[in-house]
Amino acid sequence: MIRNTKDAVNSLSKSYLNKASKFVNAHTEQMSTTLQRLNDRRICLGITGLSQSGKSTFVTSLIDQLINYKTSALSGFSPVLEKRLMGVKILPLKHKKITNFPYEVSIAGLKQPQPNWPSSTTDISGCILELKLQKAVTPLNPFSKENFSLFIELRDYPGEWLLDLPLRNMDYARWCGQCSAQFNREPRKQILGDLLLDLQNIDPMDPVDFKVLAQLKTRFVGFLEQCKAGEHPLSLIQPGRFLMPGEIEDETLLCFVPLLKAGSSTDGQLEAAPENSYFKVCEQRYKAYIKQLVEPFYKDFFSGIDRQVVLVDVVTALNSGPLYLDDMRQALSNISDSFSYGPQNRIMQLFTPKIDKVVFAATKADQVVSSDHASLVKLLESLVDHAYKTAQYEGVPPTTEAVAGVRSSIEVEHEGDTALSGFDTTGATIGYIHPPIPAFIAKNTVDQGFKDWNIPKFNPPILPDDTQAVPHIRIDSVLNSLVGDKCS
Amino acid sequence: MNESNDATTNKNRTGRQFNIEQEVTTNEPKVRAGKYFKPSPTEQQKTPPQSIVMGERLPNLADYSYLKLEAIPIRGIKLLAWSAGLLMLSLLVWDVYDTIAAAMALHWLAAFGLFALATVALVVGIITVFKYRNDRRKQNAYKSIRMLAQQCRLASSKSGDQQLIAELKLFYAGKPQQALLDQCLSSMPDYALGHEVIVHINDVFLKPLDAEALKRVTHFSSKTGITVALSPWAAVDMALSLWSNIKMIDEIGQVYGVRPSFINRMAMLKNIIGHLAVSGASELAADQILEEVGGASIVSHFSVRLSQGLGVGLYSAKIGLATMSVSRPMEFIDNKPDLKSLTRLLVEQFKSQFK
Repeated sequence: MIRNTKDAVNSLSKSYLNKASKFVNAHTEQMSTTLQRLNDRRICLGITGLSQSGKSTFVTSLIDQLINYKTSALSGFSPVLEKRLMGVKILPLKHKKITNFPYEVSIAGLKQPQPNWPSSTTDISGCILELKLQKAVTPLNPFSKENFSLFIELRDYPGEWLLDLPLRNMDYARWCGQCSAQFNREPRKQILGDLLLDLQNIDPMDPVDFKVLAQLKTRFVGFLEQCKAGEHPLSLIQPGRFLMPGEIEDETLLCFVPLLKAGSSTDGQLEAAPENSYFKVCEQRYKAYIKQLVEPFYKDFFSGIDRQVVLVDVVTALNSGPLYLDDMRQALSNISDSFSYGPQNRIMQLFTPKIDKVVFAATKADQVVSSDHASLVKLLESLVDHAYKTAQYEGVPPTTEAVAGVRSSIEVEHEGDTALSGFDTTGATIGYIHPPIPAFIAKNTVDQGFKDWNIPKFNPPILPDDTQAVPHIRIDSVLNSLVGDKCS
Repeated sequence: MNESNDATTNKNRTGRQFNIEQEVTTNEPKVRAGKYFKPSPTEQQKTPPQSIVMGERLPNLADYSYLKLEAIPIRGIKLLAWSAGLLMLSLLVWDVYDTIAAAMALHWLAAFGLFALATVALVVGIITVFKYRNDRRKQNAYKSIRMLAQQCRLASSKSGDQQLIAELKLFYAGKPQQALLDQCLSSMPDYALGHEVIVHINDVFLKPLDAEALKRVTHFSSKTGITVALSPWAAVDMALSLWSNIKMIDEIGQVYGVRPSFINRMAMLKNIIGHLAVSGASELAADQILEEVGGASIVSHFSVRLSQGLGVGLYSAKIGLATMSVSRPMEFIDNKPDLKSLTRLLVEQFKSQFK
């Protein structure tokens, strides 16, 4: 009897211990992450930017500069300047839904004899950088030689998905209204062509014909592709997953279009629409799209950001003209409402994270002469005006900078003017002088100098050996603004 | 290295007169025009470019415009404040308990009196905190009204309009503007959507408020200007214009439904300073406006004090306009009042006052 009771107690305690050990194993990683965050030794950097803004190149270069910190030019990053950076390691993110950032592939592409740019991102990826640092000497302990690790989480994602974030706070009817307003204006009106009329002709109350809906969706995707890949790419392209779906199990989530007539019906009429009507079917799919694709993306990716760098390709927008600049301004303004800025203490940061530092960076600064970088920054400030003011209002004064993940040009004097020299996309040598970058563009005008002129794209520079870090423009400044204070 | 040091030369400009009908040649550098070229062997990129780091415009060329120093927060100062606050609170509770216990030893009535006093203080404290939070919530409603109005202007949606109207009702609940808002909403056509709703609210509800606010701006700015012109002491000028401007900010805020309180005033002042900083470049300089309204003759006729008074009055009007912009629940759609139109009024008032 006693033996039986003992056995029962033993087996029960064993089972509890096993469960506890499993629980501890499963949560150790999470607990250690939480402790590191509480101890101010782990931060998540949100690399934010629209499609083609240069996120992958920026992340690749940032990792490369840090890994090769002994040879790279990082004099603006305080731990390097104070010689307190002891080493840098790249670690996997260990996240079920996020693959490892393809740093090795991207950097190998940049450092090969015929270098090429990192390929566009098609899904979420990320990594952790472990910075081994020596503690700064303090008056309380002048002999301190203690080392510590700072973990920096970096994540990359397709820029197209970013524009889905504003849809979280927009119902389907409102989105249709917004599309209707956009599609009736240039340049979208011209790109849409016949599709505009076809979308306008669909009565939202009519019973849905799935074949017609699928055809319209295919044509709508074609329109979005043209918006993105045209000679002058647009920025505000929604829904982003139509262009870059990622891994999706249910394809019907992507089978809806904006019903342009929905704006002329009242809410009551739309609510009373039959279940099999175009409106109800599209609305249902739109809701599922938000719930199954957009919300998880936001939750996994953006809700835990501590610090943010917003990359903006000002040069390309300037090349395209005022309509495209306005489009970019609108897109950046829309996405900025999805982020919450403000100073926050460490405990609250675990539960309701807020971004307490933000850097707005004009990328591809190597495409303009260095004396125009200040104007480029001014132009950037006017483009991100809404986000800038929001962050400032919430007590987070933003920093602005002109940067290039990879500097691909050199400056030369050509016939009395400062010019840029490098390799064009075919690999041939090219030189150009560009008109002065305007610091400010008044509404509905474009600087005369840029009216019939385009800044060409460069190929990456040819590096003599792969042990050197890629040349950059002010990555050190961005790094210092984002994590400099966490390194002491 | 091929990279150039583009040092700029600053020549001292001297004043001169010229006939604008004659062709003028200057030594100013020509604006560079865009062009492509095939780099010569010396211009080609033979070695990889050098990095440009913080504080540089080109490698080895310092650029101090990038120089900035960030404030390094003293770690633990918040924790210190919190723990000190908690300690003070514990001591207070302990002391109150001790005092009540001592009073109890004297007589239960004395203890009861002290306990009742402590309870009243606690309740009043809680009510004050609650009221403060409520006030902040209403101020936040004001913020969301601006955002919603912006969205409604861009896209039409019934639910968006309703949300905007609900926020407006919440913000103006219990304020004198409520009746005017109700009147405006009841006269809104049922077909109005998005931009039409904004235009209706702007025309029916906000324009009368704008007129009233403008009246107060003119009143206060002319009063400030005239007082400064008449006052013989500079220190008194400063105090008077400061007091008058704060009163004007309060009054304009009240017109648009912002209750006069220290916190609201501080929040508005912060926004006004931001607005003035942004609009500063786009506003015309006061002397330029004066010239346009025949100010050159005014300045020559008026004494130095009067001109100073007019200048202070104009700046006060500028602050008033900035206050209107930041306290208006929606941005101006049309007929945004500008300094130019107010200047004429001010100058007229000055003329009539000092005839």
